[in-house]
Amino acid sequence: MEKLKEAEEYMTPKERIVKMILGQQLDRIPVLPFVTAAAAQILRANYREYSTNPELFIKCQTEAQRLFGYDAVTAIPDMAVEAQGFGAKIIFPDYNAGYPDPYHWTVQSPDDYKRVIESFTWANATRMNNQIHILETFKETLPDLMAGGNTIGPMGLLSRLRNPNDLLRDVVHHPDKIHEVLELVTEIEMEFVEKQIEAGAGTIMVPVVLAERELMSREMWEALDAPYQKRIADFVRKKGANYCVHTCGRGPYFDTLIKWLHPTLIQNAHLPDDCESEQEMIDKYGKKVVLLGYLQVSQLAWWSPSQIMEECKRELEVFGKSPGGYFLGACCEYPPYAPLYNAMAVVKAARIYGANYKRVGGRN
Amino acid sequence: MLMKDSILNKLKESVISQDSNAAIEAAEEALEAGIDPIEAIQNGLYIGLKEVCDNYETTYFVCELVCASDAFYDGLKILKTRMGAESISEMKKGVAVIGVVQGDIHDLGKNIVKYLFEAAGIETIDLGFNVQAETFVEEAAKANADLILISTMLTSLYPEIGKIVSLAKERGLTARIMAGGGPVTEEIAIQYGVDGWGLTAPLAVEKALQLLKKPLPIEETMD
Repeated sequence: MEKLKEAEEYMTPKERIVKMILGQQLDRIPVLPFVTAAAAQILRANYREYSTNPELFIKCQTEAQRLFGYDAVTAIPDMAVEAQGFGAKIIFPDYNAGYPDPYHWTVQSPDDYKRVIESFTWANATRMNNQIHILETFKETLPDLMAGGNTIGPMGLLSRLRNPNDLLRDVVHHPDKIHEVLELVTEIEMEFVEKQIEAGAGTIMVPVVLAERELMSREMWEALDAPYQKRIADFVRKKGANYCVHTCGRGPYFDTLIKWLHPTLIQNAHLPDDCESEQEMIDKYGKKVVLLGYLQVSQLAWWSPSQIMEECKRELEVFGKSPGGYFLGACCEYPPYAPLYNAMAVVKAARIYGANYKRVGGRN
Repeated sequence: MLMKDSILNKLKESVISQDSNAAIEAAEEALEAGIDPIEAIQNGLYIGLKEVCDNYETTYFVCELVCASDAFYDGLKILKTRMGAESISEMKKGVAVIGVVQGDIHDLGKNIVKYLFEAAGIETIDLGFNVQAETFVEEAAKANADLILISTMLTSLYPEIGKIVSLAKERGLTARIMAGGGPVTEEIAIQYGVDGWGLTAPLAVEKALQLLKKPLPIEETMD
């Protein structure tokens, strides 16, 4: 790997992120390899321990951030945090992130939704409470870092409680039952968001994966999911946090997402459905949002650090010119089992190729 | 003739409108009217499923695809009761086994691929999710499959693709192997020695149809 000078860092991660959003000169570009479950490797913890013991989670995340020096920490161990609060049995494999038991779905029929959602109590939502506790701790122990919270979103939660194939059938055949519980779920998720922001989350990330060409028409997303996602997005902003959309399927509807949700950031893995190239994505949307990503999980898992640095350099040359700003990082969760040297390579690339970053132009 | 056309149209429309009850009724009506079940499938149900699959990601999306396929299979089940094994096999362009690798439970993408393959006339034997490599090979051998379709959404499980390829070779299977799933790139697929890959489900079908037309390499056909 060639020897190149790294940026002299004189900003705290939080300053760096805030100033990037404001369009000011930075010591280097902000960087987020999105190390979530993979941080367990730092203390050789297995994923079950890491995901169920918040103190261990905090130690792993803290050690990982100190070692690599990225700009934000996450409080999310996996995407099954909220599902546990609604009675889902979560499986914790030794070498991967936790997921709901696919052989015993919590919602077995369309008539089950309401009962399951109404059974929620904060006292039983151990994993959601843990996430809030993690953010409270980060606020005290890592005050200079941007701490990220999340909610999986109303439909996202239902997809963790009901077999996703059956959920799609219910969307078509029992829309009233779905909307009835989406109302209830949205209220609970807004409360969860509020607790996380009060605990110190500066950003709330929400996966909005249905607004993608692969999964749903624009019209269906707008009728089914958008009104609930909008309430959460508006609430996040009202509470003073940054709202970040995560989308990792092919052909996300950037225009529709922006129209409904006005995100500060969008983290995406694939080009928007109306763009043929990365440049077109920047031309169309670069003034409207801060872009976050675009390192693919396959690359992070299987490429060498030199390849990763080359790709980071390329992405910085392309996306670094986005007028609304750019956050170098992974397009999705860093693969849990993948060697962490590539996370180190991403940060190193930000320090070398993203030194003295200032965005060109500005946001609308 | 008019009645026959009307029933075939009902079969087609039942799939397009994702109406399982209508598909069952139309299939029963077709049998009562003495329509050859093969014709009812090929000129009725398949036409409907093809219409949905050909317009996937433009007019129809996953919800519609799942429900249209439900209607297709519900109608098919009725029509198959009057068909012998020979007539069923005559209709096929090929047989594929499909599944999600061991350790992975994401089966939505796999199901989309399955529906599109069915619409293309390739019978798919669905092994479900969390499928052991040995099971892929065993089931492919049992069905004398032309294709093995491997799906995964988890980068950690790519080596499972290689395992299935090796086991299939050891077993001497001539089935063409394809791999796909959200993060699986062409580079990864080639690295693990599969014969085909498609960026999207419709492209995977195109690739599979090409593979089925292509003669097997000489060394594979010599035994």
